[in-house]
Amino acid sequence: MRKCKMTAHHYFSSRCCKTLCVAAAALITAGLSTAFHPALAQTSTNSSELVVEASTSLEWDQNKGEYKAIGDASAEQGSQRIDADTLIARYNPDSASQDITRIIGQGNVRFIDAAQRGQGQMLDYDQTNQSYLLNGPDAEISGPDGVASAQKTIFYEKSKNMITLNDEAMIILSDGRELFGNRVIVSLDDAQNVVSINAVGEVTVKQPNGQIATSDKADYDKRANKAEFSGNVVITEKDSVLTGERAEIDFESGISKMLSPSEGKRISGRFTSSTK
Amino acid sequence: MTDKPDAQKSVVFTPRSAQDLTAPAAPRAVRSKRKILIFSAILVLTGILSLGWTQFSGENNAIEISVQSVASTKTTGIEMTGARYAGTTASGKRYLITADKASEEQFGSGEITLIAPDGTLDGEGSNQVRVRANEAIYYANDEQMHMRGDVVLYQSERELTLRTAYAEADIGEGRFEAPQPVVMQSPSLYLTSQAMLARDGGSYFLFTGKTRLVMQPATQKKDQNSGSIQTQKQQP
Repeated sequence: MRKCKMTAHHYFSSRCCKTLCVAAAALITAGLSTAFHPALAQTSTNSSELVVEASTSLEWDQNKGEYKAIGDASAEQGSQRIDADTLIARYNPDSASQDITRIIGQGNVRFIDAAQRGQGQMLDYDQTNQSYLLNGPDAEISGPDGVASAQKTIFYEKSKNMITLNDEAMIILSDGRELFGNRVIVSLDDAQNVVSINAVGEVTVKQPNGQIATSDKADYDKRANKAEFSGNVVITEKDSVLTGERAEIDFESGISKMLSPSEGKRISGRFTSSTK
Repeated sequence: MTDKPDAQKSVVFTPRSAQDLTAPAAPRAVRSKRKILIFSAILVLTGILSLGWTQFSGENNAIEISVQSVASTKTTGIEMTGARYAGTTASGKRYLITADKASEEQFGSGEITLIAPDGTLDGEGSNQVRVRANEAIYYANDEQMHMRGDVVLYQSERELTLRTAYAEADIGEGRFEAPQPVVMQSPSLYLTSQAMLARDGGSYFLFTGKTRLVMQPATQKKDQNSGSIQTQKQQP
């Protein structure tokens, strides 16, 4: 096995890194902007009716401002639909409009909005803030370009334009690329396009051809089109292994570089290959 | 409820026999006395019936009763037409019940049949609940009323109308139950269900069985207030 030690500001363009750059760029730019557009958080400009159905019962408490649909419950408005064992819809009983402000789905929750879908054990959707909390296990949201899942929660905040995946977060693009992390935060702009992605804890990026990058933390900046991996960075391609504490990948140029762990410290890295 | 001596009833309401009709006319003084007796009996009967009606509410502070006429039935019951009953509930809410006809088949049984009953109960603020049906039986002892035939419950605050074929109301408890399919409608919603229970003066509803609720967002309500929704609005 051949080993290669990286030095400060040593630019490299090995096949391994080029492939990783392409994979990461594709993962971030091609997939997330559409794949994880929050299904229920879109502002509903259509004024169509909201239809609530249940097979067991429907409670309406006007003092509390609450509807509770039990048994194969569903709520549908335009292209949006939520299904669950139980659905609770709330409104402000003192308001004149009495429009629904919050929908809570309990048990076997599934939702769909045009091309977007999601599922989990519980959904708490806040219409006022246009945010939702999807609880696991196996919470999942998906779109035409990919799937995002988490074991604990998927939280979308419209006010912050942010999606947070908690506990065993996973992103899989339709072309097979995968991103794992204990906690993944996707930041969006007002048009719901990806601005940045931050993954923390046992971060892994996989490609269909078997190339893998792991680190403690990864931050992607779409405007700069760069990603920074930090903490126990390991990049593996076939028999080659590249290790270091920090690595930056420029998706635009395809060039990656190892960075010092902190200001003033020396940079070190290791390239290992079984190829002779 | 107190009963009335049989002798007094029979004097007033026993129909004339054929022999009575062919008999010579009674002297003027006798006829005048008979008129007074009949008039007195009507007053007494009205008072007795009023006692029955008062059981619509456990406590009444301001009861107003008016009728167009009172008559006895073929058996031992009584019948009142154009009945109008107004009062105040124990919780201080005003109510008004009218019926084209109110009859008690077995006088004193507390089971009063109402034809075309129409009741109104004042709620919080300007809210008012109104119930009507083709027919109803009021069980005075239990403060319950069973309604059948085009039963309509209307809540003014939300312009909410509920229709069903049969419903039971527990006046004392403030419950309204329809074990048969119901349709509820307002300017902002349309609901169908297999059965329903309402309580707390109509502020809480439980629909059971397969239920479908269609709601319109405020924007659409606003758009349609001058259109179809407004014209579809129905009140009992």
